[in-house]
Amino acid sequence: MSTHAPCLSRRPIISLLTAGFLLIPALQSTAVAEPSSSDLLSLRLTPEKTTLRWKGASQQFSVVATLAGGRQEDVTARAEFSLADPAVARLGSAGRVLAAGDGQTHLKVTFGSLKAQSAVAVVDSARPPPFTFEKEIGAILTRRGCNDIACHAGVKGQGGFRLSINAAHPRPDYDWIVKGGVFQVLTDKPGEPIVPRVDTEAPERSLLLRKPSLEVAHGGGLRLEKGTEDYRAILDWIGRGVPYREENGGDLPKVEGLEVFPREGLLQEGGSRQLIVTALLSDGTREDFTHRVRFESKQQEVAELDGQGLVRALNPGESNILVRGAGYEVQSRIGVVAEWIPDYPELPRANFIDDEVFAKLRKFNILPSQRSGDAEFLRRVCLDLTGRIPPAGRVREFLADRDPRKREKLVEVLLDSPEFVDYWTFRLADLFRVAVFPVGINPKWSQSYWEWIRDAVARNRPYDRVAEERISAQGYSPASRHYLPYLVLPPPENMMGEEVRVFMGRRLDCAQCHDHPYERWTQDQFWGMAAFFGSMFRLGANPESVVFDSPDGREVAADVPSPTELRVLHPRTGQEVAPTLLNGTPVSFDGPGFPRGEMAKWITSHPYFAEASVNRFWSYFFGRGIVDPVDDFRSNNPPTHPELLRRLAEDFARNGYDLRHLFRRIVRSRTYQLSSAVNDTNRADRLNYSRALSRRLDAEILLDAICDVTGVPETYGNWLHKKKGRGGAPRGTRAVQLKETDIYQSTFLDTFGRPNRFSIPERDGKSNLTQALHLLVGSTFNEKLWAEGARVYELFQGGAPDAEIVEELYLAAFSRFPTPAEVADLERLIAQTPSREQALRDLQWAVITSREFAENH
Amino acid sequence: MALSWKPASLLGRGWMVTALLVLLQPLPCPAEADSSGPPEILSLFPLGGRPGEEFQGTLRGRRLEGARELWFDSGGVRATVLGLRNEDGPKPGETLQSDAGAKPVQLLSLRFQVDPTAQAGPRGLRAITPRGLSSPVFFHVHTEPGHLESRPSHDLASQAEPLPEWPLAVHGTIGQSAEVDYYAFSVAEGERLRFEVRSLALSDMAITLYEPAGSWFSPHRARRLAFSDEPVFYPELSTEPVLRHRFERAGRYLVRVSGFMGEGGPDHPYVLRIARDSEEEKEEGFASASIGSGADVWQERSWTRVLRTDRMEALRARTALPPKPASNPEPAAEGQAGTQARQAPKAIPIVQLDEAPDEASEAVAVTLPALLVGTIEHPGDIDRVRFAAKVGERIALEIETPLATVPVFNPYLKMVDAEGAEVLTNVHSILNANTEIEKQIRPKVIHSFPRAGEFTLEIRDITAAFGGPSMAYRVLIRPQVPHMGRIHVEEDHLNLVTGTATPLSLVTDQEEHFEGSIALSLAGLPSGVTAVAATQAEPDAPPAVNEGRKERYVSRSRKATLVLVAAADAPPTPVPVPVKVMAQPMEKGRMGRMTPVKDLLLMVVAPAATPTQAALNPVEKSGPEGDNKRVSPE
Repeated sequence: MSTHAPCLSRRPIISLLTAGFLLIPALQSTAVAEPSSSDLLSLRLTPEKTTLRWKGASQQFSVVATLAGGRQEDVTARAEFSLADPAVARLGSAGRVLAAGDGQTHLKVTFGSLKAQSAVAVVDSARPPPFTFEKEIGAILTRRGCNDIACHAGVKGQGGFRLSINAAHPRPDYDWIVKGGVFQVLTDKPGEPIVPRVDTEAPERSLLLRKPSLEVAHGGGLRLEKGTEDYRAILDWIGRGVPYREENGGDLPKVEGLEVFPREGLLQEGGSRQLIVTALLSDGTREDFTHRVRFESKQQEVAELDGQGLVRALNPGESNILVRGAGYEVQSRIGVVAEWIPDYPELPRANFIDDEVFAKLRKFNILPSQRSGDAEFLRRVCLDLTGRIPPAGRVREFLADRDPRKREKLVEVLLDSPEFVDYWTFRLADLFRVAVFPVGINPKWSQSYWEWIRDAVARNRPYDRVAEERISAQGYSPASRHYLPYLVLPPPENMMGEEVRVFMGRRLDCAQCHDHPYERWTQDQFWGMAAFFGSMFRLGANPESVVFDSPDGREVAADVPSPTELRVLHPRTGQEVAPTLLNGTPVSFDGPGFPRGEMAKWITSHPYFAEASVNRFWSYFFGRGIVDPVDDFRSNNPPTHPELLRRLAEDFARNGYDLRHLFRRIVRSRTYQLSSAVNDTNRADRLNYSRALSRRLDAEILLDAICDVTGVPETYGNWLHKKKGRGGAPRGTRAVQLKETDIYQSTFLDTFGRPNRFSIPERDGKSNLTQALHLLVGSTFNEKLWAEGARVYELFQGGAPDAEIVEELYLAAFSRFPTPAEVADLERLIAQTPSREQALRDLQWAVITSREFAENH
Repeated sequence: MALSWKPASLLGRGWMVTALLVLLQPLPCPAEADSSGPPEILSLFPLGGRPGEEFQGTLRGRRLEGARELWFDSGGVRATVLGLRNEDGPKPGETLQSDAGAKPVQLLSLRFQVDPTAQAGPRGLRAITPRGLSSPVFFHVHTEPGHLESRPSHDLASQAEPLPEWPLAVHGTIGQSAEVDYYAFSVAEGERLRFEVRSLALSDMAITLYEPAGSWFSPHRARRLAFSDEPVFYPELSTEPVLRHRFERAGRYLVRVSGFMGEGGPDHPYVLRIARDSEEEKEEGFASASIGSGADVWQERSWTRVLRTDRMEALRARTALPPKPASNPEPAAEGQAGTQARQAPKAIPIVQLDEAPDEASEAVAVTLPALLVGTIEHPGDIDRVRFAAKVGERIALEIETPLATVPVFNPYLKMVDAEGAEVLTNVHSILNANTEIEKQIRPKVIHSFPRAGEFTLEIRDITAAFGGPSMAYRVLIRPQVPHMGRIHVEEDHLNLVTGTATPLSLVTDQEEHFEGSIALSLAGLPSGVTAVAATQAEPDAPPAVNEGRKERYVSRSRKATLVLVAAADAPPTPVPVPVKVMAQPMEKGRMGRMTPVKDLLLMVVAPAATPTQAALNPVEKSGPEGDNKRVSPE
């Protein structure tokens, strides 16, 4: 075997290989042009009707024109407004209408030749609105960012002053302001000094005003300029004796949610759009909150906002606009395009995935790439379904096949292949964390756990059954072993957190110590769920440990209670927590089953389960989830395609949680089969599946591919039996077939991102310097080049001409024929190299270190 | 010459020595005459043979110089020593089972003759050397034709070694780490086969079945059909794989034998049995095997001991005092759920609980003693009985799991009083060395009632997740019988050098408040060998941990030591002499029945000089496998 080191002679070959790979034309931006009258088709004024109640009430309107070709444009700032009865309402700036007197009127708007109108009713215009702390002061704190997660709504607050996120919990907020005290974690009791942050005797001396106006030092900087409307409102409130809500106000309606309009919008680069935010009140009425909330663009390079809800499009892309207020958070998704496509074509579709994806592409004015060629599809689908690149012979066969249904047929072959079982066992073993771990878990356990997963894949067991079995695993069953990663049971909260994250896609962890800062998960919900795991106990010492749930939820053998009680105590209140589902339903021990088993049933029948599952599996085919990260569903991380996610989840559930069905559905879609080559409209798109995104192969897949292309298998030794001698994986074992990957030494796998499975693996696919060095001098890349049995060595020994060797390598590595130009160039380079053997080694090295090889595209 | 031991009447022999624990005296422990250690067998190949066959085999071991014959713990097999040679050093990739710095490994060539009438089953095999008797290894007599692995490398599906017609027993070795052995065989459509592997103690093999169907990616890819590697790694449970499979299609298939985690080396031989699997043959295959001769049959705290209706008599046979007047109730009608069946006099009534109602309020009424027989039929199933107890009444609860057992079936017993308060469980809580409470279920628990009343006993699986016909139990509720429990003797053989002494440690269990003594003795000692009671220095024990109410769940134990002394002029024994360890309960001046508790093999050997290279009998230089020739009776 040669241990050939890379040499400079490789460079021409490398350059040649990379130069031809996916050249991307630059995208030109276009400024927004004023629509001509002939382009205007219709005009929409939103809302169509409104009722303004109380003195000073207002409503923000937006005006959207529909132009020829279906394009829409916000013309609020350029339209002419008028009111039929100025005694009822008056016009503010930029489409805002304010109450003037009780009655009814119409708001009329004109843009070009088009007109529209809305009904405006005004009631109680002489009465100031009943005061509530949450609606008035809470809104100011939200709008000014005081109760942002980065400020006083952080886990521990700031400077001892703690507010709830977006004024979600106004009563405690009120107490922290009015009563004072220093916030302490894990207790409801305030720490000292207990000094009010308001001074009703001298309101302007209140810390609540002096800090944000920088009269005294404030870490958060200037938040509330003196003399502003908000400043005066707080000053007035303090002067009135800091009421929580207006006395004799009766049952004032509460805010029960927010709505934003539009929820989805498309702007041309340089354009703008007015958002309207409406509060849904407990009495069924609606109230404009546009000027009482806080806006934030998640991708500020794409879109920015002013404080009044006006979005300005900066660069092509997509941004979520977060709207926070009154304890709620909603989002609007704004797309920005460089130019409009006047005649958007009808796109061929294979199934509902295409319906949803293409509908959004049309809405966002993005043209998808062409359907992939056979070679591109073949390599991609083989990698995605089986983790393998196709053999050269199969590539020839597939490319030569003229059957129009050959793709569908290939998919069925792959779904039924033993390589499919290998690959998806590997994927699930990763997710389910099959490992021996450094502390030396009994490998019999990890192997039986792995076998359980493999059996599930091979028999295509419904995924909900697999999940339920894992969550509720008891006894000495294979799945129960995952609850003993370090020979002891982890704390209940850790076990619960992992199961919810894996099977519901939610991260509840933040709610362990406090109510979740971003979400509405409360600490009570967290511990209620954790309590399902609280009665778990390990019976017997290693290796005979059995996992069980204590009958009746009480200590078995109560004569000697465990030091760690089986009861789960709320860390803040110290009270025992009953097992309670996230929806608030308590589960008792009186039923026929056991609470954790009931919880497993609940999880797997909950819509979260199906959507989290399809989202996760979707990510294996597209490189990102519809919600991404795949296990971080939350309101401010919404799905890019909510309807697609819903339909996929429904389809998955309706078809018995059949993974093969789901995968078939995905790979048969035209969306999946799009080319990775970009066009002018989708270059910037990475969210909408308008083209295939190149993904670096995961470490195990890449190593297996290198072995396949070179024809030299890898050997894997393990360290488990140091005492008795070395063990190892059988000859010919592929990286994806290793049962417990963590015990097999492999510099390559470690370098290229093999996760250790201590926690739920997250593979980022990023390159690093160590990988680059390994490409140059690592044994994996160099020792396989010229070993006996190596592909190129055998071809060389067999007297194959250069062109044949080049073709064979290209087919084996890239699943395509080389272009005539590539063949010619490579033949020339080989001829120029003094040693043909050296040149062929270099060629093979260049192939397996190329980006085209190392990526799935 | 092959040997088989036949128990003889030993009680009458004059050289029996009795040692009473109460008279234990300190005795100096003589130093070992030979510090290099006893002879040791590492492995055997092949691991067995068929009745009527004659073939060569090889023992790997250490300190086997002068080995002259083999000893079998039962008849039907003979072996002749052909020669001994030193093995070359370990080859690259070989896994050694023992420490690398030990003496060189030796190969003892043998010719085995399996008697045509030999019964199938395992036999303990040891080498007899001038140093004494070696450690044992199993030799399996199988009824199927044998087949020796012939290909040096067949660890890819495409290299599978073809097998002749089954049934057969394939003898092979996982010769180095990461090695696997593929074999090819053919079956008819619908055939059901049973695959079973036996290997040595350190090996933990797995069986995998494949269909060599190829795949789209590779014509050599075999499609996995089934896999068996006993998932448990549990004390007293076998890790040997058994795989049953029905072949839907006629054709050629592959079976793969592999070591656990890729373990391999010359000491990893195996025998793979392939036979038809039918309902009638379901329990056939390799007989279960346990190394050691004459293990104590008395089981007090095993989940699989058999609880019979004569349990009281068996217990009383291990006491010194006469039984108290029996208080057995009049048995009830037989056979119906919740009723006590009529049995022979003094037999414990059987109460069938399979049809018992699930409702807590409908617990079956029983009187003590009673043998409860039932099944955890479905997940969460709880069987209940109720009974009355008097103040101070002492009971014992014994649990047997005749089919599935711990850790698959974990019987949890809980006794509650009339108010539902927990009185007793079979869960023992201890504070382990890591200062964690560790709970373990026990197959026996005793209890004294501090007050009278009606009590309910609940029987269930502790997981509430499993149930079914295999989760059968027998629970015996009975009065306590203070008695001699199990006597634990670790050694199964002793090599005694003339003019030296060797200690033999014993642990005696005293059950159910047995307050008496236990007399220990050895019967069958050879001429010139005596046994005396002794004490032994014990290392300082770590600080005691909280063992909970230990007395409920575990027996009280005492340690004892007997020293075996071989006189300087004691004649060496050419073959092992069977010696019986005897125990006899003693209480308040009364002696109970003498009970054999363990059989030992003892050899008296001369303090010969360390054998030299000259003691090795040269044999041919070819490898051991190449020498093995099988002669079939047909």
